[in-house]
Amino acid sequence: MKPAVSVITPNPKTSGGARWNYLAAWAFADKKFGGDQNQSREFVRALYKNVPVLDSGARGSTTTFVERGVGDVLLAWESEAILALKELGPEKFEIVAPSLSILAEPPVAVVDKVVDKKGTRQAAQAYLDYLYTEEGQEIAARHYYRPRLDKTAKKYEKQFPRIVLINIDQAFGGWQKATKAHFADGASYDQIYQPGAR
Amino acid sequence: MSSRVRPPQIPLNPPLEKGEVPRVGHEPLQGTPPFEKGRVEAGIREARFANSLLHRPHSVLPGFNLALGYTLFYLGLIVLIPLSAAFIKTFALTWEAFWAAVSAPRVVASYWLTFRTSLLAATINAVFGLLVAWVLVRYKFPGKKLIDALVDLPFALPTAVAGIALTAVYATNGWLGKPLAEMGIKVAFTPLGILVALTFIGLPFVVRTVQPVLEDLEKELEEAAKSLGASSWQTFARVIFPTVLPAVITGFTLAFARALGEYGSVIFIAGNMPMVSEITPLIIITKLEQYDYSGATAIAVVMLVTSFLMLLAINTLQWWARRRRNEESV
Repeated sequence: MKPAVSVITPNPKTSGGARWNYLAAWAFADKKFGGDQNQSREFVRALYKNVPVLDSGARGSTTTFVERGVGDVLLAWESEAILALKELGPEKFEIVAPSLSILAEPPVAVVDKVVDKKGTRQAAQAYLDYLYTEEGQEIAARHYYRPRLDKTAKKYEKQFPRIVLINIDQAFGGWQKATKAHFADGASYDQIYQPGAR
Repeated sequence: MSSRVRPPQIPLNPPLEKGEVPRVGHEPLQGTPPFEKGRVEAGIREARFANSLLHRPHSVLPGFNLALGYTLFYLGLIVLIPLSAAFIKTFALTWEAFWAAVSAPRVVASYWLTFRTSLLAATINAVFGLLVAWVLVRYKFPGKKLIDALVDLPFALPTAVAGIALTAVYATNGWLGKPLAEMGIKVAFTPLGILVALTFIGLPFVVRTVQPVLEDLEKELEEAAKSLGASSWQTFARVIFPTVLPAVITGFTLAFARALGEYGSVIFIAGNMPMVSEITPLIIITKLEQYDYSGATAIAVVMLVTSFLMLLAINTLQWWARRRRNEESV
């Protein structure tokens, strides 16, 4: 972690995207230091010491980085990074894919209680299924989201660099555990900013 | 006296006889019946009654009791019940947990930041708001209406828009931020940025409270002061300033109170770094994001009580200023 590189990432306390960023950094350190908790902590702490602005949301961070020109590196969703590049031209920014990152899978689900009450189960299920059809995956890939369907994934292979992607359930034992260990009051994230901390 | 002269000269009135009504000017027109004693007295009675109606206390509102009752009910419904909900929520915490929540170093740092920047912003607004109001009231210049309307913009603008606009302007690559950065002053993403945002949103409060008072301030007062040999500075310090001071304090209070709770505009420009540029409302939002409702309300209660005490102190100061002025003018 070079001290002179200023990093832009949102506030994990208020932003979901920021939590993914935080956990990705933690997972990377975890692998690099072979699971040494203290070293991982130090790595993440050093990273956040170089953050000059903690926006309240991921898009806010993108704005800070892209429009305001603050910071050297932006930690962002892959889709968001490609979008920023497409919007503003590849001569301005360069996307650097890390060797290891976290697989962010925003959940999509049919909520039984709601669909039963409203009688919309069919429509909801149809939408859910559609997301994973070739057509649905195509739309996702066109908007720079990694497709899950093998066929579509092959087609867009060039767009998405090969990265080792860890999964939150495997690496952190699910969101509840991760939240408790890292984002709750006094947990690892709070410790970074405790006065007297290095 | 009774030597009558013919018109066109104005006739002098003969001395009043007992019971006669005094009249001015011309003789009553021919054919007009002379006033009768009874009718005059009835007229006086009517006037007295009308007068008593006018000067009866609380003549507009339907009775003091009803009005007060309604006021208390309304305040209770709109202000006290929601606020008491905040207090009740904190009772879920033990005293230790409450203290831990409200006295964490990051939280304490945020109180200092919030109160300091709010006070400073309100002070800046009190000074420059008075100046703006003065110019708007006392001078005529082209585009005055436009500038007058501009003052209200911070009221009308959604705070998030204000925050984003201010950040764009004051970021190190913005119109104002760039030259300032070259001078070594960083505004956006520092506490200074918070001050800028709070000053921006607070300005109309001072201008709009001082303006009507300045409009009512008679020019004759100043002229009288001048004619009695007061210098311009003395006129300002001894005549104008004491008159507008209560209004300035009101504006200051409003701007201060608004700044304390401001979230939307600050969040974009502050940088939100813990211990440095993290305002208390952000900490509260953070707690809410973690489903820590009682922790959030605990901090909110500290904010509320502190703000209330400060506002009470300012109001007392204002009451004192107003009383002193009244004593002086008597």
